[in-house]
Amino acid sequence: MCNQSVGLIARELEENGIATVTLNMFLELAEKVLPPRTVNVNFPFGAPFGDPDNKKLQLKVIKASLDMLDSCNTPGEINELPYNWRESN
Amino acid sequence: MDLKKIVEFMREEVDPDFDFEDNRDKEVPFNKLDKKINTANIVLISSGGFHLKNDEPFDTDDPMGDPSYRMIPKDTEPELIKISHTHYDHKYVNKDLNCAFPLQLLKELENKKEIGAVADENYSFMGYCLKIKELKANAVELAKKLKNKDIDAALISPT
Repeated sequence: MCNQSVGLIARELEENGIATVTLNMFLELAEKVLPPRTVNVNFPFGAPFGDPDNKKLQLKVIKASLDMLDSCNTPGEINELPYNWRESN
Repeated sequence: MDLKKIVEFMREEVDPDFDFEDNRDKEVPFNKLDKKINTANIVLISSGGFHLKNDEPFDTDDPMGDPSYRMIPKDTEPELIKISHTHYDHKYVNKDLNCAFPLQLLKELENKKEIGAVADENYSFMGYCLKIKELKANAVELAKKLKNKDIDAALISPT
């Protein structure tokens, strides 16, 4: 439900002049709700930016998300991040 | 996870008319960010049910959820943030708030001049919400606040 809610919030914000990028943990739902820009992560619910105390991974997710604000030219685009839970590189 | 099974479950248990919103035949709203990230003002918005300890908790009893949102100031210490959301495991955020509400990391990016600034006021909804009309109306209200505060972009995350 959370994944639908953020997609709907993102669409309303975008409609009202704010650029958005939305993380997602449920690909099938993002494909239906279609937030303006989506970053899909393969992480468990409760930790969309990565596992606890894994600052390196969390920063990678944040930067990849913010990069999409710059690089995405296709409304509704979904960027599937290749990062793995607990990865340390 | 299977979308159809969730829909069946929600129809049986909560709302016989439940369905996820399908926007596939609708236009996707889209604003090109007119500046570089390193000069943009970024707001963090979560659906994790986060709120200040002294703020009103989200309604976790209503089976239709809670469409409201709470403001969390930029410099809030993680210890002052509480969660009212019963639909996800809090074990990760209890250990490290950056897993789901990375204010601290965004401030680090601001200090390194990788983003313009983190908003003074950041926000959380409680993502379990079936009151879609109210949720959207509150998002519109929030968008107006953000525009008035010169926010350029939002990093939005579910939990």
